[in-house]
Amino acid sequence: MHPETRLPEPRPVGPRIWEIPKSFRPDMRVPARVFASEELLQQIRRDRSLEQLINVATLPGLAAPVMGMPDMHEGYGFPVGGVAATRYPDGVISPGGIGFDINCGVRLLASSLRREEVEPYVHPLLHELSRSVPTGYGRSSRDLAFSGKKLDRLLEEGVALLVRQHGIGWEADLPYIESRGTIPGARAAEVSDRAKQRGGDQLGTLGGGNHFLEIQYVETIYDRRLANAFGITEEGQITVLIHTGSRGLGHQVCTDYVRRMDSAMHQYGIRVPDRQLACAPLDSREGRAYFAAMCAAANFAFCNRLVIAHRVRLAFEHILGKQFGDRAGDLRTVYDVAHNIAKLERYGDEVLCVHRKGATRAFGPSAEELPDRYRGFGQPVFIPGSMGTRSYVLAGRDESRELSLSSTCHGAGRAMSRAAAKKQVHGGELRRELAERGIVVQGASNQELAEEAPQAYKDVDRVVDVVHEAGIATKVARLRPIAVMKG
Amino acid sequence: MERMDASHRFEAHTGEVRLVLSAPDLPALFAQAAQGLAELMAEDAMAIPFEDRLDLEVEGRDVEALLVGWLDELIFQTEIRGKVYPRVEQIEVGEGRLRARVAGGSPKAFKTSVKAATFHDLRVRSEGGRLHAAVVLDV
Repeated sequence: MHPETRLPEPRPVGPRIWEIPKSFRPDMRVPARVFASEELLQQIRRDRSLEQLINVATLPGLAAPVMGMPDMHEGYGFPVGGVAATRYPDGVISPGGIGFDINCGVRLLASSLRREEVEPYVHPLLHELSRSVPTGYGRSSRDLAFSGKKLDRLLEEGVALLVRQHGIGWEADLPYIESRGTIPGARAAEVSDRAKQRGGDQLGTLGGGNHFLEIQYVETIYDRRLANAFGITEEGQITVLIHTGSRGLGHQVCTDYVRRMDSAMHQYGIRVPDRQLACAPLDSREGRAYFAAMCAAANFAFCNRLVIAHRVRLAFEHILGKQFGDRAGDLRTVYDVAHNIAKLERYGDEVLCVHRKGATRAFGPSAEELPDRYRGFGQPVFIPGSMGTRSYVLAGRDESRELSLSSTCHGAGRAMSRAAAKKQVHGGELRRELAERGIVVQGASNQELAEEAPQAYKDVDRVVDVVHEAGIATKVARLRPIAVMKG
Repeated sequence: MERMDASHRFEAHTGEVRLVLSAPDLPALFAQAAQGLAELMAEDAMAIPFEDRLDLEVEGRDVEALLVGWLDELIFQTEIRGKVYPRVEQIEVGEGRLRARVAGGSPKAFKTSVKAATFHDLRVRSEGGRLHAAVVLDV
């Protein structure tokens, strides 16, 4: 713990908004704000996430208070669920403020099939998905292994290359991916050979940890106007949620640049209270190189989720094509959004580098970057709950620009360590309970299941209520899983 | 390099895993870190046939950077080779540089995917004639 950190007592400054003033610790440059109900704030106070958020508030060039989302929990350096905006170009960029899994994010696909049509085929569908989407340390098939110039092009051109030159995904997917799946400024030359070696054959793989692929149905629609705009038309409709990121390539980019900035920081007179917050000015050699490499890794992650979506479509066609014809593989992308990334965004006269680590961009209805179809409605945001519970579709609001730098939560947020969860939860019983509720789980041992048990997470309903009530994002729909493939 | 007087354990962390190390000297501390990491990543890591050997070299501006770099090197090797390296057969830890020969092989099954080692809260400290460190691993 930082020697000057007492346990902070955040004070309320707005509906569901709490603040730790800049005066709390002498090295803070801006206040720290947390979006939470009283109950969630108490949960947040149980680990070291507030202290970590205060540490983030010491970074040079911050343009606004640092923020913690209601799902915030302890991370390393930055808390998970943290948002920090630095001025471009003289503020800093911190690889730890994005995390190792660059552009970890979620993509939602919507089908026209209904729950009762898909449920009888869940087992063969899951089996087919597990054959075509590797998990854990699994690698992609040889035809998808990218290296050399081919990988460099993919890193710089993003999903457009896969769609137009490799026939993976649809042209119609592109507008429904954050930044159309190609972040400008990506430079493959700034990605190390090691990163390319580590991730080049991982395209289309889910990875491990809390990554997953879920077949769900729409349980409740809260706002029919917004839901219809997003192609969510009725209760019982089948959706598929994909949660993964940039795999080993992104992990290695972060590893490389934390190390590089840890060595370079002193040249810029920067001191940080936690070395994992290592950073450099955005316009420094290290800052520019990291930003270009991070954008490349983010493009890789968009490609990864695109390939998985492609394989989901093929699996649906293969298993359900006979019964449902063209409807089987017709899974439209509702949206694909990052929750570990730094983006350059304009706020008034300033361009800010908004670090979102375990936080989702939530642009409101008037944002120019939205695809035409979502203009006037807002950007879709997906908030997965803990495994086997429920996920939410939200729509970003214009008020989020002022309130939270267009950011919202990204999940339920862990409340318990994996070790504690394993002590409290019996994985076998949990599997039975899930099965009784009609949820099939694939790819997880009983121990792994216990680690991701609902008890180990905050209540996603309460997390989502906070951002809805604070005016950051509007609740649109709630989704329930019928099948889970765990990474 | 297996030393009875060195140890490791895993401590609770809300989102990640904290590897806690204790050893009489730096070579034993680094060897223990390799063993702990392999045990986290794979089932029965110490029971696999050690049929693959690698010579590794890591640089770092201080001992903490060396420890993070060492674990990151092992994570990298595991990911590209599909093997774990729990045994350190030779190791030299000098000023800003480490050289080691590690032995390992293919585990029966992998458990936890480890993305990276972090600098968070990391300090190698000397107490009671022993070295202690705790490294948060992103899993």
